[in-house]
Amino acid sequence: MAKLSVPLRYICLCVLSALFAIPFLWMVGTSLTPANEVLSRSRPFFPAHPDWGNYVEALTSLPFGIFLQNTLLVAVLSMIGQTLTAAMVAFAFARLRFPHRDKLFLLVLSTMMLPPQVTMIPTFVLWTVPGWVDSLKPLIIPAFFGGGAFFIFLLRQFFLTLPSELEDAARLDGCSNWGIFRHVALPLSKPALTTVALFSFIGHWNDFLGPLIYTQSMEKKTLAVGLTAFKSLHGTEYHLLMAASVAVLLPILIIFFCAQRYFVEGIQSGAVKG
Amino acid sequence: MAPSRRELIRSLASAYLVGAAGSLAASGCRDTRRDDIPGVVTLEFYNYATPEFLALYNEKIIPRFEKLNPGIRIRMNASLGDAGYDAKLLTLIAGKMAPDLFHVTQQNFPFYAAKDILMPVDDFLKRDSELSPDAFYSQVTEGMKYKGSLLGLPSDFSTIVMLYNRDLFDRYGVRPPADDWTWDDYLQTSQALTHDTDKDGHPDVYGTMISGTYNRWPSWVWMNDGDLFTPDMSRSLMDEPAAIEGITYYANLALKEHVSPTAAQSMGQDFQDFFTSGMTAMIADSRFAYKRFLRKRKLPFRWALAPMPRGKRQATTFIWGGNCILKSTRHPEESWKFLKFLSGPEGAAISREAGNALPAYRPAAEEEIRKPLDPTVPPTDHLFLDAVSYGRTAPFPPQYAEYNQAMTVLQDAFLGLRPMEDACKEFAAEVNGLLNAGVF
Amino acid sequence: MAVAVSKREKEPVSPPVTRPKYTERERKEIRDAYLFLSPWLLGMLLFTAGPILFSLFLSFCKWDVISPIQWIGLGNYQQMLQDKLLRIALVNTISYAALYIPLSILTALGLAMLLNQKLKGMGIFRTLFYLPTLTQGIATFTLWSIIFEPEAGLLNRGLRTFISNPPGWLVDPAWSKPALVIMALWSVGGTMLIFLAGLKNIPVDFYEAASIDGAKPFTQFFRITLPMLSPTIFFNVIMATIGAFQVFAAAFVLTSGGPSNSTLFYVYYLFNRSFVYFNMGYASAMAWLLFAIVLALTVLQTKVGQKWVHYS
Repeated sequence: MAKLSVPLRYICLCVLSALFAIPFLWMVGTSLTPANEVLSRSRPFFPAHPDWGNYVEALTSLPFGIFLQNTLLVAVLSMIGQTLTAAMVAFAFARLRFPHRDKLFLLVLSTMMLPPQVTMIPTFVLWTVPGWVDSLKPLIIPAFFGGGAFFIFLLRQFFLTLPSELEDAARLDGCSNWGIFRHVALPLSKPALTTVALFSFIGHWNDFLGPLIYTQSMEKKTLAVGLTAFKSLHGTEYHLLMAASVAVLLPILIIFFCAQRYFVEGIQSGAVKG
Repeated sequence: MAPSRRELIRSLASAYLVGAAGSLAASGCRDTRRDDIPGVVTLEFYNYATPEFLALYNEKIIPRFEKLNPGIRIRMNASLGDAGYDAKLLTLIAGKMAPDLFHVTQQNFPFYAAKDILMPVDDFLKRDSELSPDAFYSQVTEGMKYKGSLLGLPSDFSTIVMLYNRDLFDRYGVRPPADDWTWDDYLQTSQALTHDTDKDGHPDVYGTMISGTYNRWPSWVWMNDGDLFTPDMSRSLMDEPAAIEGITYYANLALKEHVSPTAAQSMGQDFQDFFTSGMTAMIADSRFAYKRFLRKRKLPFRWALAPMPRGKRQATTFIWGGNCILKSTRHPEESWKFLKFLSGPEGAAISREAGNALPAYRPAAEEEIRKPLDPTVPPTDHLFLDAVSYGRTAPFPPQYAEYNQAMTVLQDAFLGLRPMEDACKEFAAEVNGLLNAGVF
Repeated sequence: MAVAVSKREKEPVSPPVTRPKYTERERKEIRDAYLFLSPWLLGMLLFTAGPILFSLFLSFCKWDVISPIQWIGLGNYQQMLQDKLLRIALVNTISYAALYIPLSILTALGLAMLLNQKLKGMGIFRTLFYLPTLTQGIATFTLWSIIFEPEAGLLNRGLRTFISNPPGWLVDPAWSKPALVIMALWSVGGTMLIFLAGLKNIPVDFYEAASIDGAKPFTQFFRITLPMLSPTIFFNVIMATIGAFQVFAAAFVLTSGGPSNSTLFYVYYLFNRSFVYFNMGYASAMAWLLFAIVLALTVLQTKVGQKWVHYS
């Protein structure tokens, strides 16, 4: 890579990012197109007279403010829970020795291999026992119990690549396992932890099946479920669905754009010590 | 205990505290399922909901009902959109959290009926002096009967008629369809309307639009004097010449005559969008389409209605919705009150405001046609009601999924992947196999 | 799962008669390990194990949720042998996976390497590539449904300037799977970010040392980048495999398995079996077959992985 000239590298980046951006621009264009012209063959990329009313109609037709609150609550709390507990569990799998470690790890992975659709009903029944099925609890609480196989696996891979010299040195200084986790592993894994936090947030932000099943009343629904209202038995309201989706995307886009700066810095500061 | 371990445990404990506090905050510290007020019965009503329907229920229907019945409160559990409606209902039933009432359509009603979980309403109706089953269109009351009992009340319906773009007819100098037009007229009209304006060898305006979906093609079999099943539903008739000829005529509008986009296109797409964007001059559609054609969605061209063209006889598809009480309800009397309200004069009158499907309650539907709440509906709106006399609901076996899967061969034929005649024969053989195996 | 078995664990354990099985320090480490694992262990017991075992039990039963559960032994598994749709679904899923796994890994790695440069404006490119992943699922599917629309869709409007008869994409059985793969590649940002984090984790001095030794970028890629990135590649391949075999939402929202059963994927068919055919037992049996397949693939990948995955 290092040998390509700078302009050439920019050209590569621009062409590829254009490929990724075009569908998105089409989405923005659709969100501003009057309902009757969405599927017209002569439709321009951006309508000559953008119909901003689509946004007003889309966002006022359902309580999207409440949906946003619920989604943020679920996504933020789950992010904290998943990042924290997955890091702990992953640390044990990567850095500590205990009997049956590899078998247990295979068990962790295998929980991902059974399609969730098949455990949907029994899991729902489980949550009816404490009566928590018209609440966001079933969407948040499990995040605090290991954070799921995906994140455990991801963090384990990163913890495994940490140089063992640092750990050995810390151990010689009398550092406990917790101390090594807290003061060696975590600071060195900032990029991985940021990745996990981000993925966790977005995973819950976009989760559909969970909120569909667990939330009953309108005040409990999330954005992902709310958006499906524009796709009904008797047709899809493309322009409204796209308008609401773009509106919903904007805040998270800003968050990502700001966070990715930190994300890169975190990576570099982690890498220096390696 | 080593200080480090204590720190570990302390961190764990605080993590759980954050989680617990968060989830408490999330649920607002209040469990909505247990807030029954003494002396007030809360009914749970599960429904499909689009935004405008939700507004109608939450702002009009439910407040009105609760005002008339102070001892009853209604809690809506709306499955937004149609994705996962049945999956969610089944999950609620499995979790012993079944609603008291829920909405059905011609498609999923037979399954729930066959499972013996719906409460018959015949006795309620007999005791009731205000409402008689004859007040509803018979297609729906027949559709909601299972083994002789009526398992709910119909709420809405629509027949399917032909919608046409008058501007396109005028532009190409084509005479609008007459009331007694035939299949030949339909083909000729469609041909006269199909135009390749930019001369790229690919029409830009199509005369009509076919659809390989089950709510459309069966009527073409009926119009040709064919049928899908024997009257006792013991055998498929789709391998008979009348059926094959009917469905072949329909599919050929796209495949052979090229007066319609291919069925493939209509499958990837919402049916109406080709019409609203002026790419097709005629589509067969239900009154549900009104919400996309009127008011805020007012089409940028003039349009009108015509009956379906006559084949060997007149026929069209009749689709409906209704509400059912689940046997598991703890409040059958109150549920009946709400069911009756939804379907009866008051609910029907309010639901007219949705401005699409007609109420299944006859007087309300007739009133809507006579004096539509929305004055911009086309003057030929009465055709929806006229078509009731020859409208039929396509048969939905309780195990619709198996049946629908067998229909894949017909879809292939609509896509032009195989001859329609072969597909019909294979479909009939497959369905007969399912019937013999007792799957339905 | 012996990906990175430490040397110490491989040492022969002395007979317990002469010495306790574990030293005091090892015992302490085990106790600590279980404390670290406790969130997952508790979660497994509380939320995960029950439903999993229940679905295993259900796979030997007939259940439509409404009627009582009925034990039928191996009936579901026997029926699966006869099920021609199941075979179609399995073949569809495997061909989708065969297309998706290599393409997604290559695309994501390529993008990540492009992004792993010290250039101005990287934040904007990173955000652009990641944008699709931030978009809600239902919006992504609906967006692509209008892009793939054969008549008026953006893609074919563009293609018509080059070829007169572009494919029907989602409505053409031959093109529906490639179309879904294209859609999935658009959302490859997650995998890309994991690669990027992995690339950033490679110490810069490794490259500097190699440059001084005169190694060309090509050699550097194979000598440094690939080996150092191997744990990340391993992770992404396993995840792509599990994901591809569970592909569901696109078929559920977009294609309903059509046209002509060409997108009838395994998990979509399984979902239909449970919530459209209302046969939970059969769906559970199907889930356990998929479980066995994916588990076997994962174990195989792990065994192969031991040869090429390097940890520091």
